[in-house]
Amino acid sequence: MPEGRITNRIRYLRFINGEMTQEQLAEKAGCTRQTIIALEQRKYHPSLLLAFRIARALGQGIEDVFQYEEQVVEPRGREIPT
Amino acid sequence: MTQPQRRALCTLVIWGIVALVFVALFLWGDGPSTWALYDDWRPKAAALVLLAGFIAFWMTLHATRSRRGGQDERDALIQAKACAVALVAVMAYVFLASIGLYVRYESQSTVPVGWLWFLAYTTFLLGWIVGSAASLYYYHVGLKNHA
Repeated sequence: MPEGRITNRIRYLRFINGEMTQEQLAEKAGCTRQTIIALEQRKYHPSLLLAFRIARALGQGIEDVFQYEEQVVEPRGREIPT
Repeated sequence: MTQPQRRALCTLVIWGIVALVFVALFLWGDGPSTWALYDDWRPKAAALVLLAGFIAFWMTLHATRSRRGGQDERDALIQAKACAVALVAVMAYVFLASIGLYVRYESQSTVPVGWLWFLAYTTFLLGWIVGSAASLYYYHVGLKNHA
């Protein structure tokens, strides 16, 4: 059964957006700074709505900010990256 | 630390202290067998402790109320998950405590009324304690199954 994980490039995109701070991005995206921190540390997966808001705040498309990496898990549990 | 995290921490500390004091009062002297009997002072003391807990909790709610933009979807999701955990914990506790009392007093055909007080107080306190502890846990480890 395929399993996946979501990664993001928020930290990098903040940097190339004039070194935007987490606070500034949070304000633009309508969330808290702690949520931006959790996203950058991959401790939280955002809702689709918040993902779009963050992408727009960074001036990017959603797939330029968030990436889905699919992995195939064998019955024994070994992961094969695709 | 965000306002919701501070609130969870204060809630855990306040109701944790109230729970410890209540259990100490409950077990004082002869314990449940004389609770609320013969002008026992302990139920009144427990009520006062609970009242003090409510006052401290109200002050916490007031001090940690969210300003504009202080709470977002992640906070709401964590609080919802913590509530679900607390609900399951309370249900399991009430079930196990009730069955335990039944088994313990089955042969005597009667249960000391003090145990019902104990169940009532501790159910309420357990809900707050588990809910706030679960919130702090989810804030610490994060939520990844929301996508």
